[in-house]
Amino acid sequence: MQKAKMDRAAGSTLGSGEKTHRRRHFFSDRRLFIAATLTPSVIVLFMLTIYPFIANLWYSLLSYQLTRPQNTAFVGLRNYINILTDPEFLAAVQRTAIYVLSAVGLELVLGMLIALLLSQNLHGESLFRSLLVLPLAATPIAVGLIWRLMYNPTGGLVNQILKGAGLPPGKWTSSTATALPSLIIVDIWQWTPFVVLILLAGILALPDEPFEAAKIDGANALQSFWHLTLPMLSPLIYTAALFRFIDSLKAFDIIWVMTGGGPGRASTTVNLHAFRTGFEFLRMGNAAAMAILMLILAIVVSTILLRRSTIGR
Amino acid sequence: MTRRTKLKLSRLLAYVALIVFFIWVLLPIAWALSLSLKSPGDIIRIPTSFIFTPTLANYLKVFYTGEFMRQFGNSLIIGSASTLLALLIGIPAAYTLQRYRFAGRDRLDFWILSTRMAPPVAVLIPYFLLFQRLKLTDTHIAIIIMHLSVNLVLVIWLMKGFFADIPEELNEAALVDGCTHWGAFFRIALPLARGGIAATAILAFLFSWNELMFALILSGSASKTAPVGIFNFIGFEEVAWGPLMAAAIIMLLPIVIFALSVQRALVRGLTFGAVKG
Repeated sequence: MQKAKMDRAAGSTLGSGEKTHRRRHFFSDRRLFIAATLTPSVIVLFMLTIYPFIANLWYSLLSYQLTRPQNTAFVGLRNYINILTDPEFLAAVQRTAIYVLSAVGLELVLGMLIALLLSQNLHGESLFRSLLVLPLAATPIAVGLIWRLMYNPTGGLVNQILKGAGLPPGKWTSSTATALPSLIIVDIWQWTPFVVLILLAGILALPDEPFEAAKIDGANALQSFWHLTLPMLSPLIYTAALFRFIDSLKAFDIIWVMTGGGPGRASTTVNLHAFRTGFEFLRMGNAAAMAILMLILAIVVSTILLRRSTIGR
Repeated sequence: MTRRTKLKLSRLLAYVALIVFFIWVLLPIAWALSLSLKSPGDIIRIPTSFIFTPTLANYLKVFYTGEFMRQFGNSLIIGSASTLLALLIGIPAAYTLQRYRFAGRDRLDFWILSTRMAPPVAVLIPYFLLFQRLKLTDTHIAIIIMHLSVNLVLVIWLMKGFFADIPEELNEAALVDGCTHWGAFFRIALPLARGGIAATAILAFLFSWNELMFALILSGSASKTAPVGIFNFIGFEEVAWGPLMAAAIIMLLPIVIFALSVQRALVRGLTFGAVKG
């Protein structure tokens, strides 16, 4: 009796290959449990991924203008061709590339620097970590509004500080040339703590022996960083890069509230362009096509980064 | 320079660099706070000074006039509902994904991971059209559904990590003793994961609280959330700096409280489980 009980219990978490003596083999307790706990989530996941993907794919093949739905017709790949040859779209792609590469690149460098500094035994570590959380958790739109005021050419904090330091004031978000960099600065402000937190945990988890051995062999700090720290942290760096890349592609709130994509189109990224196309110009077909293109890009780059990150197996 | 001096110098430099960094982090929030407490006359005064007579007029304006408090309430309702639902659906799923091996588990894992890649616009377009057809725009439920889907992924991701912290032997012991799978889940795993559940709940609520794009498009005057409503303070003619900053601080307040109290859990969630805190 005991053995049968043990067999049944042991069989339930050791994989589905165990044969057990029970009446209903297929609908076992274990199977029912797994099905019951997973099904609601699978349904929601389906609604979140499959449905939008198929719907967008379908809409992207139509000439769907929401203000004139009666003119909707199947146009095949015409939307894609129009988009990919549209100079506005291409300009948006260029801006997005600048935004993403600058922001992520600088965040990785700055984040690594701060993480290295914090990894030494300093007082107030817990306080520092609490402070790091603030920009990350803060409502992006509140952050955007605060920075928008800070960037105000006359009354804003940024120019006042520059003036106080004897430096020339800037036009920040009011000029087409400086709008994008201004936004990148805010992105860095908000997300560097993210990189810091990830890399800091990684640095603290590194083993001591290689570094001690290196010191004995006469290596200085820079050498041990370049040849030891960097390679050992590289999967984690790729993880941080992956997350930041995906999230910066999706950046919306801050750009929307600070410049609305302007002045003119100076800070319109692909994400904003797609949003505008769909929800201001109501050209659903085009917007859907842009969404599909964004998705493809995200998947391609993610797959490359994923393999080298800590999540990729 | 002796080795010792070098070391002390580098530590000093580290402190300085860190202090500069953290001033950079805090300055915007501090400035916003000061603006929110200033009277209109003080606000326009240049140069800005941090010394002034504070006034609560801006906050009173936000609380008593306009719709902001109602939008605040909407955010609370939508946040709580989507968090609760995400927890109810996601926690059992996370448990099963972590504890049980079955066909297709890795594929399911990857599917969940891949949901992060979808740009919100891609999700918004079909759902906007769908909700329009179903006449569900400007309802709480539409936004709750959208926030639920994203929060669900967050809940599953985080709770998997928290469940992984509970040793498997406890599970197996329970099952050997004749516990059903449900029993092991409810009586062993859940109570032990209490802290993780609280942390996850806070993060899910935080996401919903901060969310803008879905709320912007799917809400109308009845269901507008706080992030959308804050735009009201940006008039056509001018921007009401004082009340605007007051509204921003009000939005940030719960976050600041969370950040200081449940810092570890927040770190874990905000780095998507990459940092255990």
